[in-house]
Amino acid sequence: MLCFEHVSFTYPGSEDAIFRDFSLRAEKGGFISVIGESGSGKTTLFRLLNGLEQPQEGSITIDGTPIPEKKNFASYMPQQDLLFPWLSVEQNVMLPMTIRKQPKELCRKKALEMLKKVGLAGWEKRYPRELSGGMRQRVSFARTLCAGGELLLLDEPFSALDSITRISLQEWLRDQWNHLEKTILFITHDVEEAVFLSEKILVLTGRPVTGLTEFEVPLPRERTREMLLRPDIAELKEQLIALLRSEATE
Amino acid sequence: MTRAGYKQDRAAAERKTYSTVTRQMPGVIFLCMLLILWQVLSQAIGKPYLLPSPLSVLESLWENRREIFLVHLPATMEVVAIGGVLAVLSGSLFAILMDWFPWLKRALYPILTWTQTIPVMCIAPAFVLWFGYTVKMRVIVVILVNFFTVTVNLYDGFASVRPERIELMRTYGADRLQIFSMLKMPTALPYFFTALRISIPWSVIGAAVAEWLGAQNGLGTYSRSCMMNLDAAGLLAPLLVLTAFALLMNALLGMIERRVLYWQE
Repeated sequence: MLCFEHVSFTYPGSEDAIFRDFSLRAEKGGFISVIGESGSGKTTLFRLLNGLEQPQEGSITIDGTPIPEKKNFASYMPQQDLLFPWLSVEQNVMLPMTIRKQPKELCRKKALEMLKKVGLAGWEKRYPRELSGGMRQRVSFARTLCAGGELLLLDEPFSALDSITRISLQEWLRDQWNHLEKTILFITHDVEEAVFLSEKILVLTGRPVTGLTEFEVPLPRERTREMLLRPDIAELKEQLIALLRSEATE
Repeated sequence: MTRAGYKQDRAAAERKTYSTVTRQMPGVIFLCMLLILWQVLSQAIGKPYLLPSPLSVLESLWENRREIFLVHLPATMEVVAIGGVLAVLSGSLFAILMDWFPWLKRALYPILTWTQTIPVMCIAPAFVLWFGYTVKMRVIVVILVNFFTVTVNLYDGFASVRPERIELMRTYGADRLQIFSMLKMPTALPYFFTALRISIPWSVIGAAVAEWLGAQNGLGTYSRSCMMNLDAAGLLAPLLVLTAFALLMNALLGMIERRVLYWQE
């Protein structure tokens, strides 16, 4: 279980706190989306989880162990694919394992397995410049899977894509998660995306963030885009939009 | 490959050759016109000690080919090679150190920028005083001419790494050395090649100027002795050799660059 307890955080040199006495609990194995307006602290939440920033107060634990004592528990997928242009697709996917000095043959085997999983078998010797935006994001996802964490932190991974590619990748990601035994924390500012992908939606509230509002998404594990037209889902979307609006005007 | 595919590839190759020729054509025509103008002007003036014709420069080069290519060119190339390699090595070392130790960058970078306002060619005579008419003096001139270019370009290359990429590597557990070797070095490679492209002609210029100041051998020395004898054609002949050499080196470097930076667009 992921647990934020009474976390307070302010960026060095800034006077405005991002989190103040913030607490969060997330169960293992879920697909949880975090939404909030721009600058609401979504990315900072991931930076704290990644250990890129340290909270000034409070603690962040995974299964009761503080994050600084944990190793390789989370894999991060950034907004942009950040593939290394001088590395082939295969080498990009192997990167987290290469950094951890795992045997080369094992890295290659796992990378090929992941590329097959994301539908890019046969593309391993190509270079990022030869791929479309959607393919690059899938390589980035394969790299995230190779990083080996139980918790996947996906930071608006589809925000830079055109709407058609975005929709197809949302369906693809949902399908991937159905077959993965991972917890996904997914940042987005798109209500429809959050509803389609998640089991649970967290809306960060307050400025600085002091708490959150949780919403359960009443959709089955195997879901289709048509289900978004159901009246209860339309009502959920309205609630979310109303909450985000009230947060923005406060 | 199918017959149709072969035809398409051949047509594409022919189009590419045609477009390269078309692109180069205006430059070639302009150069030919300049040479013709030079030839006509020189014949019209009729004073070869003032303005020798391009043909007489070539004639002088042919007549003195043994002395130029077997004695003076190797001497100049020795200075260019030693000075160029040392400039690249020392410049790279300084760039790496400035990237590794930010306090060193804060201390050195402003001084490096400041020293660039001093024309090395003008203070070169001071090196003659300190080191005499030696190879060492000429090598130092070449190093100083190129050191700043290599250091600053390479450092800018290291600094151009996107911070998001560094953070991504840190989330995978990368240490400083891994971030440097796996991310910063490849990112800085295009900048390094830019520095080399600038350094090649400047190394040649630096070596020639240092030889003008005083040396036993070298194309600069040869050129200077021709000037003393009012032999304008002889004075210009080594410059032709130096220009051709710099162009050849740049073409070679371009080939290496395309191979090393294969991943670029």
